Amino acid sequence: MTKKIIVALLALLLVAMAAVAGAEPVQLTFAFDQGVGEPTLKLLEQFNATHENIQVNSYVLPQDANNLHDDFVNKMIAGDTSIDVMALDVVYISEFASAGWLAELDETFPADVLANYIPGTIAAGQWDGKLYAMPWFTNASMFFYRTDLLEEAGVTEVPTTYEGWIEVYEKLEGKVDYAFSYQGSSSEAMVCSWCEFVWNEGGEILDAEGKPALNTEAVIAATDRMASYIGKYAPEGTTTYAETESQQVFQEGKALTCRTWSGTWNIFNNEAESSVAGKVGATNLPVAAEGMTPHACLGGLSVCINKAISDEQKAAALEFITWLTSEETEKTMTLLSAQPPAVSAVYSDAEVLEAVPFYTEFFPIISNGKGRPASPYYAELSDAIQRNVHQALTGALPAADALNNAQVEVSAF
Amino acid sequence: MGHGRKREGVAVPQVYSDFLICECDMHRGRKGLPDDDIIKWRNAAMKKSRGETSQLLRREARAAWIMMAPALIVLGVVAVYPVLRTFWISLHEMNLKRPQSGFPFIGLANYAKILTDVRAQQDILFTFKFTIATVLLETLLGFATALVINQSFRGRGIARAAILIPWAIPTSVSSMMWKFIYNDQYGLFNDILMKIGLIDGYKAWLTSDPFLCLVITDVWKTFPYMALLILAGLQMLPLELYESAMLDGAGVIKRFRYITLPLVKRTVLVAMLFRTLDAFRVFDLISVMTSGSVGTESIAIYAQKQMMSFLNFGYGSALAVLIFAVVLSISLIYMKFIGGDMLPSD
Amino acid sequence: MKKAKKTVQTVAFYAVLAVFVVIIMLPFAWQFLTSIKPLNEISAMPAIWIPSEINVQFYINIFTRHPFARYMLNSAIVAVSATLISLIVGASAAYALARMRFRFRKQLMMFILCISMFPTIATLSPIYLLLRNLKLLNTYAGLVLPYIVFALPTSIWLLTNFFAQLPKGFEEAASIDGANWADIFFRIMLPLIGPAIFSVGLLVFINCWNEYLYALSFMTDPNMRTVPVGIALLPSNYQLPWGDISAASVVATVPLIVLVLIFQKKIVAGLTTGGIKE
Repeated sequence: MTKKIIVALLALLLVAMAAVAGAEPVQLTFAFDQGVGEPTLKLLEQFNATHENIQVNSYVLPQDANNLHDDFVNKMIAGDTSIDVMALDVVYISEFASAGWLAELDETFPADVLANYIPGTIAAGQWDGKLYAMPWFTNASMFFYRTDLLEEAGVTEVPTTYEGWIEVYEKLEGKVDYAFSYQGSSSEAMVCSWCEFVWNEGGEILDAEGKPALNTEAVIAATDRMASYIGKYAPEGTTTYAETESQQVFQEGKALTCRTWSGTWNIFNNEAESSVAGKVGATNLPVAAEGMTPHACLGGLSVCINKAISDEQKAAALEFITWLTSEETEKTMTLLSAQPPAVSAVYSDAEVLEAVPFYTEFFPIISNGKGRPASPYYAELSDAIQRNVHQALTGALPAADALNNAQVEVSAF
Repeated sequence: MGHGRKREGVAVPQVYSDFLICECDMHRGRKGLPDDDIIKWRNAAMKKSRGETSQLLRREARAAWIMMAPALIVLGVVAVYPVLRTFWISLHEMNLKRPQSGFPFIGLANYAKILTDVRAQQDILFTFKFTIATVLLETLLGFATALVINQSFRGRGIARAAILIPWAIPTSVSSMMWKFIYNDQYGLFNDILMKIGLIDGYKAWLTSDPFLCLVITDVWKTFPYMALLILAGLQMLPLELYESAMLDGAGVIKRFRYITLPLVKRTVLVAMLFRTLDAFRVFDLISVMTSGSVGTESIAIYAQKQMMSFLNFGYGSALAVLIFAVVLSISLIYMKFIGGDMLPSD
Repeated sequence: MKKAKKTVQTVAFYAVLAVFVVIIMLPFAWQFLTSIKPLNEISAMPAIWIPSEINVQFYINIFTRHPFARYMLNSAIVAVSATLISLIVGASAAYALARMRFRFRKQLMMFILCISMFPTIATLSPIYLLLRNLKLLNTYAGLVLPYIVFALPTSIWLLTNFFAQLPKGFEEAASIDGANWADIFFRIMLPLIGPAIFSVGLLVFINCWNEYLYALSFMTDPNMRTVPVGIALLPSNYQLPWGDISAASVVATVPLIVLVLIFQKKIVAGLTTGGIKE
């Protein structure tokens, strides 16, 4: 009887899927997330149809940035070669590069090629003076607002400061529940939103030497501002919101404004989902005082090559990412996905402008955008910000104390 | 049934062997087993053969190892390596972001670091709090539920299926669902509490009462596990015991106290043990609902952060081993209560 | 008088039971209602309970725009194999531990338990390496194997406990009669703990059906994805398709409910209703 059990067990172990048969063209695997799943699959079809020597297969992961990061980490630790090219969130590039997992790209992409891209997106792909990732597409947050409410309040000029928006809100005398809707939960979304509060208060997260300085006057003032609006001008639940929840408040017509990623434009204006469709405008994030330059937080994905793969694979991978990040492909991607491209020229392309008219206003926003600090220790920094700033936002600690704690933590690495 | 023997009035072992005999009698004439065999076994059981030869014992031991072999092989192949590897890594300075360090062996330095890491200590404390609260509530609720659905009543099948639903929904989905339920704008929790007049305004529950939210969600999600296992334990109780107790005039409470409780005690403890192991390693639920903010970071979340986010595998592994050590101690305490009578004497 | 009291008791019993079941079911009911709501009612504030019309689009979506039929097949194959194997392997080990005499039993029980003591995340990367070396990534066996491992401690402990509860002397009598261990095990002991086997099996099945992390990491081929990973693959940038997610989790949960309804008779059929069954 025991024998039978063992036999059955072995039989089950042998139910293995057929291995992928090696074919003539070089087989590449490109890993990306479902966030841009459908448009990317279309792009790959195009690439495979026009390139006989290379066949690119897709490996799609859930959209959650942590899932993707952790899956890559597991494969990289194992020295895995099952992935050749990966689309990585910009904040993780330094980390992967410092771990020695990414191939250098400087030879293939010289300075004159890089000049075509929005500078911030290139900087995000560099670590220790070398290029490890090419920008695929970028992203920036925008400040969405209700055009109809502005009209109702009799305001003709779109406000540029926090105070200006609060004034509009007060003029509306309860016609809308909240002036602001942003992200304040302990999450990466909050880190982005918080960075913007800091920058638009005139503050910086890193000092002149590139070391985190989290307890400076401007940072404290910005955190105070972000916290003080919660429960008064922003929903009490802001401390539990990531993007989706804050967007929901705006979509249901409960907030005058909403800070979120530019691509949300389409959803806000889709009548099936949004009760404010057609009444939505987008502008720069507000600043603390008139005349300051507003900065939005940049995001996006860059493509990089697994260092562990063979030279033959690497050559094919380079050919693929050259194609993927070319102006022409970026334009196609923009038309397919409404993801903001990394190549500057695409923003002024007539065909693109026809499809996405707000890119005229969006280009300056993205050009003034800032990246989150690029450092192998970004994860630790983000974690310290998330936990400590969240304490300030919930009122558990005064902003100054919370930020002093954060500073102590980040000084340790 | 070591404890049963001492309980006043109810002679468990006696009833058990009576029960065995009556079981044999009940099955006489049923298909599958010839009558003669049953009678032979019955007689043999009554005699309770003792004093086997050592050869017989050896044969028994050999058969036992054969029966355990598949399980031990699978566990040995798949589970032992990860465990040993984690131990080994925990003795190294291994931050993947610093490959130039060469990942040197540093002995117990990672463990020494835990002693000065306030965050790890707070996390352990929180995890204990969470484990105790959820396991106790789940056990009480699960036991009560099992007692109810063990009764025979119309609609019992539906009730049983309904009660298992929370356990059946994938954790990732149910945590997300509960996050929506606690939302301050459109959450059901606010809607319902408001309608029944318990609160007079919507609240952001996940920051105002995060512990309560997590405990409610976890209890909701896992009490069915307890209920189902305790129900299985109840089903194993011989009906004859209750009948004779009833003949003796024992009431509901007495029957529960002296029959049900001692006999399902071990099942409940084993179920509690596994719930404790799970609760102490809680990860998904907290990561989706609060991501560890407002003082709700569990030690498993911290270990995961050290490993996967900070790529500090050395320290992360030490935290994993710490979880292992704590859970092992808890298990040893449980073992004391479960007692040796689960296993036959050597 | 007595009859009236009994009626009151029955009514009270059902009332309490009904309230309890409603509370337990509420989140699932909400999810079900969400899955059949028109898009614009899903996130309405205040909440809309009863949809104005029934919308089946989300169900169509998950089967046409996403390969949920395939995901369910994969989940079913993996969960059924893992459950059956871990029950057989687990029950035989549990039987030996509970009812046979040999040395190191307690140590073995503890060793088996230790497997359940590590945070999952610490096991992920080594198991990935192992499966890759065994060439088991993207195979059903590659997922079944770790599932068995993590189902075994629970199954063995619970079944050991249930075997130990059975009256003593049963198999001694049978073995004197010449029946071998396998006969005693399969023909007598296993049926006797039937309700426990079904309960443990159900728990193992549900755990395997809902497992996410291993399924995500070890099954990278889109054709080999399981249901929980499929659900995680639904959200795209900027948007949480709550309707699709609700429909998918209803679809993922219904087979389990059906399973419970089928097996619940087995769960209660045990010693109380008559012992040895064929």
